[in-house]
Amino acid sequence: MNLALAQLTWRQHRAVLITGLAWTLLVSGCLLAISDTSSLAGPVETVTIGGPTVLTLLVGLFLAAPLLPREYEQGTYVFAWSQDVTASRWLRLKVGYLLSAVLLMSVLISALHDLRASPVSHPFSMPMFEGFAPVQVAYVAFAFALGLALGALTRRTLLAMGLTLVGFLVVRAFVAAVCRRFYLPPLHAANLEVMPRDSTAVGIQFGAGPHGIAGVDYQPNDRVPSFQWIETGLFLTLAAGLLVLAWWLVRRREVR
Amino acid sequence: MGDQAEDLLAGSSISAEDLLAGSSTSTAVTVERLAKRYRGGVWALDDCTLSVPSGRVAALVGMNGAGKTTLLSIMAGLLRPTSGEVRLREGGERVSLVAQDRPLYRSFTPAEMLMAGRQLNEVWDQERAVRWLRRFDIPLDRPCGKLSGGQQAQVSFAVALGARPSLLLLDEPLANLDPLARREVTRELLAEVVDGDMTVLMSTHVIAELVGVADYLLLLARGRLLLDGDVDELLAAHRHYSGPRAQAPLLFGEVVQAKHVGSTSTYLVRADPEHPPVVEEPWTVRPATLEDLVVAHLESSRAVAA
Amino acid sequence: MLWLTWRQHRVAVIGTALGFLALSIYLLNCSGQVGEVVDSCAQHDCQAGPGFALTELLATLRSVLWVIAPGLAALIGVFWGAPLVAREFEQRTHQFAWTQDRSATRWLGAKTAWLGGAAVLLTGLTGLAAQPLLHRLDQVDAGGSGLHPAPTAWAQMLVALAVFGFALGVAAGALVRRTLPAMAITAVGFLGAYAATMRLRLSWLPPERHLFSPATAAPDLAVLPRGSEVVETGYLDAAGTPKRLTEVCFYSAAPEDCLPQHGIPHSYVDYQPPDRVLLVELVGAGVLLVLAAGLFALAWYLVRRSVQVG
Repeated sequence: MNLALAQLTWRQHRAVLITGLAWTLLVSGCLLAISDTSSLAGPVETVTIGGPTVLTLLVGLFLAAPLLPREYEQGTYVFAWSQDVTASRWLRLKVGYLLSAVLLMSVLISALHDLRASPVSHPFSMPMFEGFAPVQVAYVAFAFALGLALGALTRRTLLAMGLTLVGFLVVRAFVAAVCRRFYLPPLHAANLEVMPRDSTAVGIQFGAGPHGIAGVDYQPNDRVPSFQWIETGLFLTLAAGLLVLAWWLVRRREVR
Repeated sequence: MGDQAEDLLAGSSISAEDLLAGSSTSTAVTVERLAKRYRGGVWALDDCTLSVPSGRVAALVGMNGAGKTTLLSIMAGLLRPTSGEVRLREGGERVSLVAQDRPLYRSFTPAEMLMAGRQLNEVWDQERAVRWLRRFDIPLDRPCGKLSGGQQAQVSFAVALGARPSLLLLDEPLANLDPLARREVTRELLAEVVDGDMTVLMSTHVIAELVGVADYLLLLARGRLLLDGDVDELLAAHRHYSGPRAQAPLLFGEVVQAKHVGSTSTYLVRADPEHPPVVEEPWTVRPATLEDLVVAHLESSRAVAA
Repeated sequence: MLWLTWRQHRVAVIGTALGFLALSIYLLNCSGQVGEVVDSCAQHDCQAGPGFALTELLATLRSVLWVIAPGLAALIGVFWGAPLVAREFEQRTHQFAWTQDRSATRWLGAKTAWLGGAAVLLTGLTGLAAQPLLHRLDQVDAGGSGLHPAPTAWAQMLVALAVFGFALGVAAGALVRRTLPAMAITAVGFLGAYAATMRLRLSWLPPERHLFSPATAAPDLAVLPRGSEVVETGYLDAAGTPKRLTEVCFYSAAPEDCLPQHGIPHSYVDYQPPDRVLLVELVGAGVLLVLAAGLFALAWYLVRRSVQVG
């Protein structure tokens, strides 16, 4: 029975899965083909950040968001959920298969990226910070869970897709722009000159001082790995919460 | 009905004057050598020629896959025929189609569906459409997607009638309706035909639905016209003759179907209704029902094809 | 038709409009911030000029102007254009919509006109809202960073992108007749077209070349006329054939010495002079509009072909 559901899942979602796989292979191929990353910093950045991001949006928008609304809109949930498999079990199995598949793709696409990224840019922002494979995998899990939950909530395909897109981008931008620099309390220096070399300014207080700077908050660059793991944990927690929400919404409407 | 029979006879050979006059003897729509081939090589219509007299309720009868929906879609301008042509009455027919799957915008309320109909048409009779919805107690403010199948069908009828069609095409119109609603819908439709100078062409494969509704029959089989004519006249022309087992009945007329059970033979014969063949004992005559007639023609056509 | 168009697309239109509204407010707000810094740097001493003081904001603005705004324009294609015809086919409602007095092509014409007009209006207003900021950024740019955070014809490009995306969506929907695949095709097609436009943005006319001899690892862009846009930088060997900067020299402590040692006496910058920048960018926007016209025609033909003539 489980296997039968795996076949059904494949049959329903094969177009998106094949597209995702093709994209993964294409991006990986590009990254492997580029031997000299330094002279091609621009294109490499485009591929290394664009590649995983497109995969993430594909998963959230075209795989997760329509998953439930399509069943509701086409009335097929009546068929799908009146079989021996209950609705919540149907959801658990489907999510299990699909999430494993897309996480595998994400691991492949971002692991190669890790090997290839050029270490020239700002350590706390794109593409250095977010290129870290676990972070990318957590983004994919989050996008999937967000799409699924919004689909369960709205039960309308296009609306769920639109909200997933907006929600994903807003949360990502908000975390990157506002939250990230304060994962750990920043250190303080009197001005830019005395700030340690391997660190990144995250806030400047203007006032009386040389060049009008009264103080600098900064994060040492050796904190980047722990920050990356914190961000991974944050998005995985969000994803888990959204998956539970989706499961609860479907279960609530379950007849049996 | 007698007048209509004459109309029909006249209608079989229409003159140009008739067409220009747009009189009741004209045809609402004529289809000539129409063929439609779908991708994959299936011929849904194959050299189909027929015409629908105006001001009548015509039934398009055929088994599943006979080409009914294809024919209606082509008449409505939704499908392009592979070859052949559809000719509407001179001066233009206003064609409305109520498609089989009752296409409605799921998020629209019935009131909004009427609004959409008003915007898409140059002629629109809001009162007529609303009247139809009220008559069948359809809530005007619930999304169509949340209505029952029968209610959705009623909204489709209302939108189609609001466009004041002169040719109303109904694809399996009664399929989703309960017996009571079915009876009411047919009664109201007939009233609208009388009021509105409208021709109705309705497709069905349930012959029982037609009795008392359709007065003209078009029988379709494998994409071709098998039989057409005024229903009363067809019924008058067809009779069952039963008698001792025989290879052929000793009378004049076209034998549509022959059945031999035990020592008895039964023939369905089509003959001139004015001068029905007279038979002698031990042969007996009984009238044929519409269903007998349709089934017999379909079976004999299948035998010919095989 | 206005009511019907609005009724069917209002959620998408409102959602996208809110996005453009937020973007416009943000751009106006940023214009104020940039203005303050530029003005105060003009009066007092700023460490390394306004370009440095605004480093973080400029990085954010670059991604907003180059990624977020075109992304919003893509939404018009994906959520307005792609479902326009595809949803009608998918939900079979074309059987209703196209059998009324208004022919299918008139239905399509009216809908694309209203929605296309709305797309032009939204992106045009956003482009207007961006004007003060773009003027301010010109002043920052003149400060010497050499990197302009936005194309000169940003507003025109945004309008052209929105119209192109919308046309692409409509045509894709008419072609595949299924909403989700049409949306995916639109998104991918838009991405490809945008990437190509940005790459070719300055190449519609042959660029001017400035030679550096001896070669420099990082060209000093301040020598170019103010307001120029860099098309490409590179290195030349003695024979004048283009060479890539070797890894050896990239990691070398003194690339200026390393380059001649490896047989690279010259480096160059290809650029469009300021008086041509606007022209070449407008040509790019024009190409997008021509493509859009072709896609509209394709959609029109596909819809017309799917219904009987007359």
